[in-house]
Amino acid sequence: MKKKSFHSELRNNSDELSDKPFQTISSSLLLQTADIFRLSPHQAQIQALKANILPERYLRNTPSLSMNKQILLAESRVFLIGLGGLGGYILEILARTGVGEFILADGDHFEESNLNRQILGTTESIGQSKAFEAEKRIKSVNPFCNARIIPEFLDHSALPALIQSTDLVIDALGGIKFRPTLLDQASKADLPLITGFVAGTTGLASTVYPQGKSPSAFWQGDDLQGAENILGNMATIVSMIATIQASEAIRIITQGTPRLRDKVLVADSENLTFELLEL
Amino acid sequence: MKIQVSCFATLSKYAPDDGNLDIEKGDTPESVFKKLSIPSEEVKVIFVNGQSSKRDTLLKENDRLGIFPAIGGG
Repeated sequence: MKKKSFHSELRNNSDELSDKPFQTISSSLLLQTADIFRLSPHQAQIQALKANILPERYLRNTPSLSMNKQILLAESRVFLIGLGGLGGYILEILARTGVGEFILADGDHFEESNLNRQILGTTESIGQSKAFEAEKRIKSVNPFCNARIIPEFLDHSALPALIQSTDLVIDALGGIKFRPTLLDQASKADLPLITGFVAGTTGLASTVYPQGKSPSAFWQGDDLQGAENILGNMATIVSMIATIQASEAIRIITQGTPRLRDKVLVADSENLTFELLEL
Repeated sequence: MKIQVSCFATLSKYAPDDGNLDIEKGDTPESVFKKLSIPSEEVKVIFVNGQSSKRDTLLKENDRLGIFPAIGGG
């Protein structure tokens, strides 16, 4: 009974577009309607999409994303570990595109040397928790996202319970040391993992499926042995690799064929070269 | 015979000037590292013609060799 009236209220608040096969609703009216019927914004969004009512914020996703794909995104839960250079841009893209739920983990705090590339870090947020800054950003960018924040450096023991409740793992870690552990845990949970890693103006991205090939040979040694310690990390390549990771995540969530499975894409933002290599 | 060598990240300083290198029959990625004075232990990943390869793969005319150090920044 309540559901029916929620739907009729949604219809009253939505607009017909002459050239689109769906109705649209503004964020503010969808939030208001959700509030009246005591639904979370996240749940209200899913119900609206299923009733063929597209939140107006996603209008320019169409027709690249079908309504069905928009629903798959809204119903997905992504585990994003690392909220620095790669993670900040990945979160920005996925939240705006319409991923419904996130688990966001990072125990670090912003430092001035992060500001050349980390979109969540600002002059005002130096010293602040990366995870809490991510939460603030996501609330401001897309209030229909649910985000569970974990402001800690995760260890081996904490991972299984967190990973199990998600659909996809995105490795946006800084440093090489913890990456093999995360990969191993994603594989044990039977989930795909999309990894990205950069140094200087060179960056790589790869998708690893359980029992598939992985780029773990790049992660030999400890955190100090990665080339990034010598070369730094340029915003150009960090944002590019994050975009590639986010694109692959959207493909996988919307049931497309992954492009980087058993492969690694190498990009260089100085030479503007791209190469897809077989692992 | 010539091959093309791409050296990435911290290894880029060892790349031959125009990317081309003269090799002989029997040369492998490992022997190419010696020719280019690349410290072998710094090379973590090798691709030959876009395929992940081993240090002792025999190289042939026009092969494309790509070499990488450890990389893990984010």
